[in-house]
Amino acid sequence: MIRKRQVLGLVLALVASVVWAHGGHPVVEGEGPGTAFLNGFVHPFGGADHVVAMVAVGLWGAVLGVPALWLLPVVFPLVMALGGAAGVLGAVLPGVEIGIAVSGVAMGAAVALKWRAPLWAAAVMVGVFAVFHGHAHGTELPDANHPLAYSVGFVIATGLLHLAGVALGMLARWPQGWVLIRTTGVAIAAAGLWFLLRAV
Amino acid sequence: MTAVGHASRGAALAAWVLVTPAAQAHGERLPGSPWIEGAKSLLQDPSCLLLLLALALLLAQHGALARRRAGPVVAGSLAAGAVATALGAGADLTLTLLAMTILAGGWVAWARGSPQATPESAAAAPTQGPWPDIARAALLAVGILGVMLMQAPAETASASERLGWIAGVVLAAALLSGNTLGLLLALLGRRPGLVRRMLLRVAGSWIATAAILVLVLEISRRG
Repeated sequence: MIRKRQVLGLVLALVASVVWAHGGHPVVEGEGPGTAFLNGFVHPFGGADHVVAMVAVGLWGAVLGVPALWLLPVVFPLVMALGGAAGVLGAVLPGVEIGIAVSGVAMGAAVALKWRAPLWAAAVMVGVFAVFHGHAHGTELPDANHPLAYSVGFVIATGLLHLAGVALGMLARWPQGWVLIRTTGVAIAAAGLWFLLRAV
Repeated sequence: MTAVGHASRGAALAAWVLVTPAAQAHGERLPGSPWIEGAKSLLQDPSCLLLLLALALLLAQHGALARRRAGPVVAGSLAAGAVATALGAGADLTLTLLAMTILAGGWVAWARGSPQATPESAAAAPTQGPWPDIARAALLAVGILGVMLMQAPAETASASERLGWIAGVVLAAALLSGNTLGLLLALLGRRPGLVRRMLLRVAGSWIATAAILVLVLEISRRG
């Protein structure tokens, strides 16, 4: 059972990185709700900064254990929706790209340092970062032909990225797994730093 | 009902959903077309589908007793909706349904009492009193009634067409919500309680998130 989960986590992480390597937001041609769903689904994979941060949310939740394991992946999309709503309504949020990059740095560092943050602090931190991610996505939502199908695809993909992080975090059951988890944290923080340098 | 029973009911629904558009693809008005059109109307409305899914999640999150109590509420709401639409009631309730989806999805995500790591800690968790049950039943009733009113037949339709349409909507709503619940129970029933509750909460948060985004978008487009 554990091995299956670990394999699933690695596969999801690999899939995410392969899609990430293409860069830009991929677009599926066509009309109708099915196409809108697919476009929403592939959207989160189009931005490496988003992918890194969303995997980090799940990974950090897994590192912190229950109840953070489920709380962080629940807090992130819900607060992200509020940020997305602000984006849809045209509200200006300064430093969106910087906020997104910092989220990678902070959560990657938290995983790498195995920081056992209090539950409320972890939830607040993830929630604040989610606002930036949501705002960035929300500004692109009004173009969707079938917004509900697009949103469902988009949210499911976001959640799967969280679950990829959670699955990766399951490696903690192995003593050697911690090495891989903390190395992943370092890699996420380094990627976030790279995005931060590009954003400023 | 066993997990196999739930799964087979789900498969029957899936086959029905697939057969319906295939039957329509010929472009002929089959005998009983109005009820097929009614069912199709519900199945093609994402806001109704999302709300029914959220309500099924809400029921799946609770025990067998709560689900048994929900049965008369669902049946009563479907009947009330059928009567109301037969009498000519109907409205565009997209925003209301989205708001209710947020409520239901958010409720699943934030249900009081976090998933407990052990059966002992679950048993020691505080009880909640009757109000959550009453509020859940109210949400279920109003939600299903809203779905029915949203799928009211055209005013120009004849009486027999209206009845057929309404029957199709009722059948689709009952099958869809019942089988979604059955599938959820079959899929999650074998998982440990902690994993089951966590998955349900995550799914609830996804539904609420999608509904929030679309509700705001709809409001901004209309305003």
